Amino acid sequence: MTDPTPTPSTDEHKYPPEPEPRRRIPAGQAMVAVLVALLLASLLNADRLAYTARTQPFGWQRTWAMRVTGALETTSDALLLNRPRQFLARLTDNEDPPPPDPTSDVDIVRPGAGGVTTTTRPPEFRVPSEAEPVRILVAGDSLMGFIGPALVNELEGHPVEVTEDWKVATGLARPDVLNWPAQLNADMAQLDPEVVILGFGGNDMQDMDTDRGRVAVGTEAWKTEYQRRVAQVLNAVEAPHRTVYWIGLPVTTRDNIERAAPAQTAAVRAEISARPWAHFVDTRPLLSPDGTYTMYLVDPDGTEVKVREGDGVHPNLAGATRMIAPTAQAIIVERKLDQVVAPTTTTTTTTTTTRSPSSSSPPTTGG
Amino acid sequence: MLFPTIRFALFFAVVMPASWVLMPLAGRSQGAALDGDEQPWLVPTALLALAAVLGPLAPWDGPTALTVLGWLAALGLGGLAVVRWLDLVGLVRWNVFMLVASYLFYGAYDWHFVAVLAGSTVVNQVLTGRLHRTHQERGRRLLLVVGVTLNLGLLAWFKYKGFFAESASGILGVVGIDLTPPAQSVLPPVGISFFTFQALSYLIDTYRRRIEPSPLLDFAVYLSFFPHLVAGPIVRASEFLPQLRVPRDARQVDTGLAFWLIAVGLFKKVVVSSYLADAIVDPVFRIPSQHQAVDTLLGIYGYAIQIYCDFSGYTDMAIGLALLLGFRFPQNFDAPYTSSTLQEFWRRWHMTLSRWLRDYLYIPLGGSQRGPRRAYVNLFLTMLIGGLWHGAAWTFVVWGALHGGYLAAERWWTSRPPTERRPGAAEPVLEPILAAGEHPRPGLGGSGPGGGGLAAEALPHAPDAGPDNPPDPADGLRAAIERLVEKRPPLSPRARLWLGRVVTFHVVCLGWVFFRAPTLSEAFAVLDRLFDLGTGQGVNLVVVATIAIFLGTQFVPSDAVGRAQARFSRLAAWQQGALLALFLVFTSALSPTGVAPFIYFAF
Repeated sequence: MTDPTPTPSTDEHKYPPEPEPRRRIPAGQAMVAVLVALLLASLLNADRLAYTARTQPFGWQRTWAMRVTGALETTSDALLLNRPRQFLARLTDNEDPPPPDPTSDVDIVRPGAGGVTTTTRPPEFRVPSEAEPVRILVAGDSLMGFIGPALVNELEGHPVEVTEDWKVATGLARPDVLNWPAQLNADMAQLDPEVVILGFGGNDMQDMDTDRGRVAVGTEAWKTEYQRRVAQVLNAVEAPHRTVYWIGLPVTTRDNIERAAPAQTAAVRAEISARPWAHFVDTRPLLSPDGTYTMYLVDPDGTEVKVREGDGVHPNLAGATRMIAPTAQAIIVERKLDQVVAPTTTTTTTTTTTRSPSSSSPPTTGG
Repeated sequence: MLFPTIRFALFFAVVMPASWVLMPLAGRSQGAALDGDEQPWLVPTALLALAAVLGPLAPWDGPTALTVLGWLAALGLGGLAVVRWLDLVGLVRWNVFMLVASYLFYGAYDWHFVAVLAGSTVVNQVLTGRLHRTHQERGRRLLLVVGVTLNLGLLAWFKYKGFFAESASGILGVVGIDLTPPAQSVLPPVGISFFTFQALSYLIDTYRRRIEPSPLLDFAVYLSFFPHLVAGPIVRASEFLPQLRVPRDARQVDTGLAFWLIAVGLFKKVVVSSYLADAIVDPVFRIPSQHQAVDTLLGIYGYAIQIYCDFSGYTDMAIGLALLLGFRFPQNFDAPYTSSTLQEFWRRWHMTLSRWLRDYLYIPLGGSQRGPRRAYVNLFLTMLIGGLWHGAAWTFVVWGALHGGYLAAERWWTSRPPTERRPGAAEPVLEPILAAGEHPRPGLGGSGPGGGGLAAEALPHAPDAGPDNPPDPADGLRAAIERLVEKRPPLSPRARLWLGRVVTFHVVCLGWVFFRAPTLSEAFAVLDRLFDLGTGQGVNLVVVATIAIFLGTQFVPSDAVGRAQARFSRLAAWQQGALLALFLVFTSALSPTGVAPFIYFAF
């Protein structure tokens, strides 16, 4: 069937002469070199390895990874081998976050709140102007990636200032990766937004550590803990002049996300129902009118439009526009943007995205 | 499984030693030659595959006994597979091992993808074998058409179904027909464009009698070989299959080049590409309206460097990893931003795609054999389809059309007879500078195996006008343009070269705007910002320096890089490993946590 004799390539594929001949070495030596590189790099880079292991989803892989990297970290520290990397990272302001807070709680300090709950207060809104636009913050996981641009487009010509603070591979399940209540607390102090648009959950279908131990995803204890964390987030952003829109999870193709999504949505709805200044935006009918995942939807003019990225989870810009359009309309009415006497023709935005390009880094699976 | 991850490092740390242990000694290729239909590897491989499916598919939520039974059966089959596998010898055993390793690598993304890849492998092998055995031209052509249709059909089903449905409904809507074809979404397997193109090269080269079909096992390894599986380079069957028939020489591992490519590729990907994406590119393309001319321009330049570092970084690592296993892949990048014409750019950018397009699209379309005008059309169509290959979106169509149109214009301009050129006058900007066949220079270790020439393989010139090619009616326009050009003061050769480089770089950057933007309207929104003079959100000097440095590295003399690689290769093995480790840590200290997927994984 086939000519078994070795035949040279028939292609004109060739390489230029080497200016100086390179030495080739036996495979055994090459393996030694690879082994030396991996072992030495593991010791020199032990801090980053330990951080990576720590931020894995809970499970046996994380447990073993932490054991191995923990030993490496100790050895590296004892031999001072981690110092060069630490020095370089400090020099370039690229240090990894410190070891995790053993608890998932955070002390919420609201400027002027004085510990008084405002869950039943009536909303008080000003009429914005070009000089004093409505400050809007978009925060959450990677599912919020296109929400900011879509919102800017939808509010084109209105005096608003949109700030983004979303981060890939984060959520409420793992405050040791990013403590969102604390992060939002800092955002409130720094930006004092009047409208906060939140979205979490794409990475939260995993076990959670609590004061009472680890709770397994899908259990009643997990649902209770998740609702507590949703409340923490809402408490962190609460203020008299502020409204919150929580963007619910869209339908995805990932079974694990879909299994956890009903409990997550129930938790969010329950907490939001107790806060008149907060609203839940159900995106499932917006992106999946027939209840199932679809990559394309029909526009009012009859044309089909791609509304998702190719990963079966994230919306693209068109999808995000569909998700945010009703909210944008609600903001226009609520914030009296349609009452501005001379609407501006430009939309001012600032971005302080804390996103890291770690869409593949654990514990992400969804956003 | 991404290359620069701990999981992949562990995978490779197992695969590399196992690969060399299983590789027969050079000169002994026992097991390489199989008689007729003898395929002793089929049984153990099938058993192994069955075991891999059976255990994990055991119903976890079902009765415990059923789960235990499933795993026991899987263990039994796996054990039997190992026993049978030990009977295999030589290259057959190595091939089976590499096939399983590559399928595990691919399955780490999604096991469904493996089924698609395996299905494509079997169908192409059956068709190619039958095509080879058929002697009647009509039958051969029929089999070729069936094969090409099936391959393109697979690609269309996974990648373009929705796009075509979307476009059809839009076009029909314009003429008042309300038809909305169903566009049920299907997630495309990672790298489907790459392995489909490779399968097509196998099929078409067999039809052209350039190669003979290989055994199924060899072909399966060729399609699935993990270093090039998900993002290239596009290795042709005639380049790779001969390497599978001869044991790799375990005494001649080119670690000097391999480590260099892996280190540089990693740095380009996880440091430079990630930094530019975060610092300037993503902000500019996400919300164009908040930027002005200067920062938008930096965003576009930044994307030019980002995509180069991302894609060439990946292929550097792929080539380096393959070298450590004893295989050579073709070069894929060669300092593309030094190009002074777009034609030259395509000799230096994604070189394996450009030669694939030339051999399997441009030439079958007729190439330049049917006159200059047809050659321009063929060139335009080739690039248009090349654009669509990158993704199912109108932005990629526009990108392809821009490149195709400019290339055609370039050929039209440069194909004028030399006698029409003004003696001693300045050469036009579009004149190709690099003579075909000249050895290109390697980039800073990041252009492939020590630099290398596929320059002659680039998309060809349209032919000069001559007896067989009647004069182009558009010559009048060309003459008019030349009269205008003649009025300008002559430029020195160096000035012409640099002017060509600047023009070409900006044409490429214009294309990148469409390549990067999610929609056409977003692309135009970005371009629109270029007319709003100002610095927008300010100028980040680190970004400017990064762009300048990485443009500068494209001009580093090739000999200097080659000599550095040679000096590195003369170090002892442990010293090479230690230096590599130091560089890896340096890269890690500058990189953000996690690794973004490679841009070309989407294609």
